[in-house]
Amino acid sequence: MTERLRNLEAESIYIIREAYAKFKKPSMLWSIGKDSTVLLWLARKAFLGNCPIPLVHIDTTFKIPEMIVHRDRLIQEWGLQLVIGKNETALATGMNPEQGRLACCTALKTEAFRQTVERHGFDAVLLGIRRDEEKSRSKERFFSVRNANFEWQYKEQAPEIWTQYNTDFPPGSHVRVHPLLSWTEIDVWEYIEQEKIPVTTLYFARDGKRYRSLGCWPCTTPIESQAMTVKDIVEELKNIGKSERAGRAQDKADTYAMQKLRAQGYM
Amino acid sequence: MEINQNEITGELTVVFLGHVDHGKSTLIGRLLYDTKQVTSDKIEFATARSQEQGRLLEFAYLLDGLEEEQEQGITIDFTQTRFATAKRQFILADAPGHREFLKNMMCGASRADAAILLIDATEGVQEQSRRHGYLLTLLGIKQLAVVVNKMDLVGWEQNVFQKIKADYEEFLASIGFSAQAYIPAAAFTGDNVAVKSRQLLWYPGKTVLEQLEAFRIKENTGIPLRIPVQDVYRFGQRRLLAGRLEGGLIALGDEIILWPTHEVTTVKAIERWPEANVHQAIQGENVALELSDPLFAERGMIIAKSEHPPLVSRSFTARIFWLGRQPLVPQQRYKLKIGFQETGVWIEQLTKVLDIGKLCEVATDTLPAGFVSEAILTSDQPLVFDTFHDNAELGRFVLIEEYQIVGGGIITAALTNKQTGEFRHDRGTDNLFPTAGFVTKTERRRCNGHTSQVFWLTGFSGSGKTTLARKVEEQLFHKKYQVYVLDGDNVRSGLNGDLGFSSSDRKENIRRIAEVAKLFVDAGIIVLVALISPYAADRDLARSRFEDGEFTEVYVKCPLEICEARDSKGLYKKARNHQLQKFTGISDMYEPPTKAEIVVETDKMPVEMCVKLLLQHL
Repeated sequence: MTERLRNLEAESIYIIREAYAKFKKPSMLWSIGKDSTVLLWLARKAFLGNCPIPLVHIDTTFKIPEMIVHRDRLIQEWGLQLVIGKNETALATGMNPEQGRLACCTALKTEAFRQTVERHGFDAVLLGIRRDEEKSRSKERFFSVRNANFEWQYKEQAPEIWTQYNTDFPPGSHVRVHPLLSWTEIDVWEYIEQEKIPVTTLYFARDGKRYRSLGCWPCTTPIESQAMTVKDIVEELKNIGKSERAGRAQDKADTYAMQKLRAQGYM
Repeated sequence: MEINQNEITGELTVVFLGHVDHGKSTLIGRLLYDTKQVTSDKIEFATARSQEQGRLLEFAYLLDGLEEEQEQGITIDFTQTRFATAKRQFILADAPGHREFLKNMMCGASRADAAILLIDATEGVQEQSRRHGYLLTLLGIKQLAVVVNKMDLVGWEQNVFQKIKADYEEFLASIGFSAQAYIPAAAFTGDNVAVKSRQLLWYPGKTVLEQLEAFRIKENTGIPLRIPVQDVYRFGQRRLLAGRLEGGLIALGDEIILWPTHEVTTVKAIERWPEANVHQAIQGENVALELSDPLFAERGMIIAKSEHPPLVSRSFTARIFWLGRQPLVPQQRYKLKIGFQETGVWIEQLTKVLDIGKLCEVATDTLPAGFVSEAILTSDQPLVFDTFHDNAELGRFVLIEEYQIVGGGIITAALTNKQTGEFRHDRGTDNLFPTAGFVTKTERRRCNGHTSQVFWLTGFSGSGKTTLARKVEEQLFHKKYQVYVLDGDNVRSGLNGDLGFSSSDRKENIRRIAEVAKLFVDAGIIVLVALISPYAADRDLARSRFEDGEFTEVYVKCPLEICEARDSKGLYKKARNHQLQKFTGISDMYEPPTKAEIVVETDKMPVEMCVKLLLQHL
């Protein structure tokens, strides 16, 4: 393992253990994508092969079916606890991307997530977001508070000095914990290769196309690619010259769309 | 984990600092652009945003930013980006220059190996140039290079550069610091950034890029073994101490000492899943250790070897910095975190307050944001630490007020013989607590082999508090735990026989029981309090008498109708017949807990399950 990956792994495990030690009821968001699967793997390393933190999957019902198959397989194999969150009310009234991408993301992701956090009383949620993904995530902290209205007050963030994080929070708020914040897309793939972490086959090229970032099928476009293995992907990314979320529609709805979505509680 | 020496390329974190608008973001953007390390969509974005504003390409827009930042052309919060040269990989951190965003600057700078400080050639040394430079010494950053930026705007004049260099050299010398290099440059035109300037031929030194490569990775060798215990995990019969090695190395069979209890044992196993048969671990690695003896261990303790013991004291001197909205007030209690130890702390005295923006000593009773001071601190609990000079990781701390980190500092020396005389560190001997007959709570817990704490069971009369408490007591007793139940009715028939049921008497009842429970906890005993305790404020008061983790509020939840139907003591009937005044649920209110650590629903869960929930919380 390279020194960089070793340092990243150590930082992430340290943060995961810190979250588990400091919060009463932490959970971990698992989108079935590569990042949150790496997060899950790191949690198993932190807890010596176990994952005492329950996983939360927000099911928009628009996820690519293969993702669900992959999810259920790992739940079985690794003996994980899974909570599935859905905004049943919005789904019942037929919410879908045609009603506006931001509206759809807000209802089926943010709102479903909020309902799940409240229903289960999670005081902390671990997420696999990374600074290099997009602008607003680059400003995140490792331990980042969301107030009782689920909002992120990004202009009022408390500092994290050295490896001391803010782990005390006012009642009613919950905390987003971001163990992968320092990782890049290439780091994630190199680590997957190194550790042989199982990821869904959607990331590998079929008929000259592969998914670089996984979301809901109506809003995620595969990229042109010949990458059939994790090694191919790493090589491809070193020369690609485009950002990872270029295929994600919600980012494009407006220049600062992600910042707005995330201020209101989006992941 | 085997280390292959050939693989070590090394990655260096460099923070860019300096006064507002002296060009930090532009310099980083320019470095990325000139070395072709920005993706095409980011260049398209930056070009479009610049054109909208009628400007040439703003290199700062190549960095990620918030809408507010890119609208106003400022940096509010720090961001960081990866960067590589043929020789080395870097993380470049862009820190804000506004004084009001100083906390964000500290956040971005605290993890850096080296710093580049920018000074605008047209403005010279400014307040934040000095403040940022000074704070580097408190953060432990020893490598600094100064870039005199915007040389294009002063006609590339050598004497302008020399004047600024002399000013800043003098400032750094006065605080016992120095820079490795002073580089004249122009980030906007790219002169001396990634390529040598043709305008600055009088300057023979390095470009910014070459300076980045000249920085060295922090050497952390020679630090004795320190493993702060982050958590304790149980796997069946095994108990594992989780933590990261902050110094040294550890191997199977090593003799270690657990601080502050000063217990000696050896390492039985080192766990690092999925690896099997781990024989040793080195600095920076996260491990879980199994010890040969079943010693009492908890988060916050420090594992060390006998050759280099840490310091233990309740009092020490430090250099502190403050970032809080309200100034720091001496004698006021704050929370201190050092490693995983958390305790109440107060500043006895601010011995030398500095306005580091102007670099002058100021006469003040409090410490405002952005100022630093030398200070004497005293903590509620003995702390295990090193001086910052000996071991940075255990020699620095943060201060917390109202849920947020608002300051921090570095320890310069431990003070022994604190005036109160209740604690003295006698380094190198076993006499950690030398007063004859002075047995600490920690020692009692160690002797008992378990922690001591209070379970505070609250709920309606008839909800099952006493039954649950008695069952838990029975189970723990059979496992040889020291445990006792304080039942409301029992205590009222003795100690609190003088009290009735008015709000003030209820309050006093709870106060006394909380104090008795505290004595039990001090005595190393697990105590279960079964008490209606209907008012949240009274329960909070009880909670406030205990340290973090010692007080577990258990909401024994059961609908009033069911409690009334049970009515095992016939009290509800009496209350309905007005034979009892102020009866909770009937003629007096009950405030359900909002932050109970455990909620048991006795109408839905069998009592065994309720018992299990409590036992899991030990």
